Amino acid sequence: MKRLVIGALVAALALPVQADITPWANAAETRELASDEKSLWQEADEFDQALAHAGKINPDPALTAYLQGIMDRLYPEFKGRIHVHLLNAQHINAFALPNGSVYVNAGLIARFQNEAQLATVMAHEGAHFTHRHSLQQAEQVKNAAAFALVIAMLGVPLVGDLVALSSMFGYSREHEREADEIGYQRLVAAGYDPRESVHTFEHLLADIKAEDIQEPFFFASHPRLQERIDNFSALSKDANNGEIARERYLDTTAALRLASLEADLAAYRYKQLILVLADPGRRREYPPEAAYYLGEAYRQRGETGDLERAEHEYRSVLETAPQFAPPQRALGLLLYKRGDQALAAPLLRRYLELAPDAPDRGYIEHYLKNLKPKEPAP
Amino acid sequence: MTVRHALVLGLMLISLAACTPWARVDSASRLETKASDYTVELPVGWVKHTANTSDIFITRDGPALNYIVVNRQPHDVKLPHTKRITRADMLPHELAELTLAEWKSTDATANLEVLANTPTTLGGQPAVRLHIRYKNERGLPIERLLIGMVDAKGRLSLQYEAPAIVYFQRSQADFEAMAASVRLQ
Repeated sequence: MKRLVIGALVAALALPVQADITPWANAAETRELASDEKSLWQEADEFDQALAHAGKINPDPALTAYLQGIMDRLYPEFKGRIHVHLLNAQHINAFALPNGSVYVNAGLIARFQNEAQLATVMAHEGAHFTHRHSLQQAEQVKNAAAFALVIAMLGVPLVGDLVALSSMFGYSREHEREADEIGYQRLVAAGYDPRESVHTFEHLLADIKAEDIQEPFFFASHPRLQERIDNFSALSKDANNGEIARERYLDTTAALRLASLEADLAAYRYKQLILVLADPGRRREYPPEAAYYLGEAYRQRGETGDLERAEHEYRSVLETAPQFAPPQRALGLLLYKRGDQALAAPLLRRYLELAPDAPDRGYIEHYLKNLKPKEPAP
Repeated sequence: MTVRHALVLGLMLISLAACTPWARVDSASRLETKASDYTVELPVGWVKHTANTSDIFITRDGPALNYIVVNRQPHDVKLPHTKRITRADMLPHELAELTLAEWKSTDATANLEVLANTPTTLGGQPAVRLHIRYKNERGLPIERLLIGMVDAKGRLSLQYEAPAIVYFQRSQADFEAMAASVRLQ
């Protein structure tokens, strides 16, 4: 119901782009705000604080600096005004607030293969800020205070629902198209390979198809993903080469992407894991331990043949990373459940040796106790 | 007012009185039997929500400050967030994994911290004991304790939740006693 309300709000705002609000040329121009815009910024500031207070922000300084560096490269004249935050959320999402805060979800970073693909999204979000799309939409409802009130009513008390929250700052379709155009120009000007922008949207589309869902609500007001793939393909058809920055991206985000696999697994989002790791090309972007996560994803999916696939992955990672504890546990439990007690016990014991502080130690010890041969009856 | 109007008004008042959704638990009403499936002793002094007949919902100081919910569902009812079902042959750690996945699949508890995840028993059956902490939308730390199990009939869980500061500890003993009183029939 809440999403319907927000959807109605977004639809109401989907009016032609306001012509008399000019984009900012640089950060200095943002120092003096009219009252309507100031009100929007204050609401956004409160939203920033609410997110931080709720512990939703990933504080990793190196990663945050990396993301900020990409944004500063895309919008050098707004350095110090656009602030990028990494959100601990797995939805494929990013959004910009009226005050220049740009949020990028960890799950989004995990879906991409290089910096140019991520830069495509960040350039788009930066354009929402520099072109003052929030204010334009507020003007369209004729009353910025009412707009801010709606934001306050829908947003601040509901920080838990990040999808809905990011959606409330959703922009009209016209604004999305403009942000795509501006973002593309920024991508080229910053020296990134613009052809990667096509892959950005292909990854998002693949993810949506894997989940068998409608396009996420956040994208509901955007042009459809396939339309955007076509548009960016046409734009970049004759584009010059640029930087992709694959190695830098994979190195800098390695820990985050692995953590993202774990988070997906912990939330039973096995389809995303299989989408990424069953692709041999993508698999090379991860260390050998990733085979364990793929095995777990197969186990969670539980279709015909998946337990055999899982066993194959567990065994492969036991060979390549024998000191990595989780596959010892996973294979041990698989064999335990299958009734292969003699084979399960050494694996489970090895798991506890490798991970003496394992949080599930109680379960494993309980199962090992069950595996002990029963005393013969007198 | 006609006789007919008076009668309708009287019936409305009676039905409103009958629909009062809360009832204080006293020593005479504490034993709860659910569909010849299980029995559980509710803590005296708590208030029971009487409107929902399939679950037990009780609170001592109001739902925002503490509550215990008992939930019994057949295996084929999908969990709301992961859309998974449970199975009678699930091992306890698998039930714990699925329960945590269910909680992590909703933004409100996505960043939960697991304080304890251990095997236990419920009504004499192997079960899981999950204790987590998360921050609500206002940044207030909340603790949740769940004891759950699966059997041939479905899944059964008791969940206690309260703000971590003061309230959780205050009523935890009532929850533990309630969980220990569960008898499967």
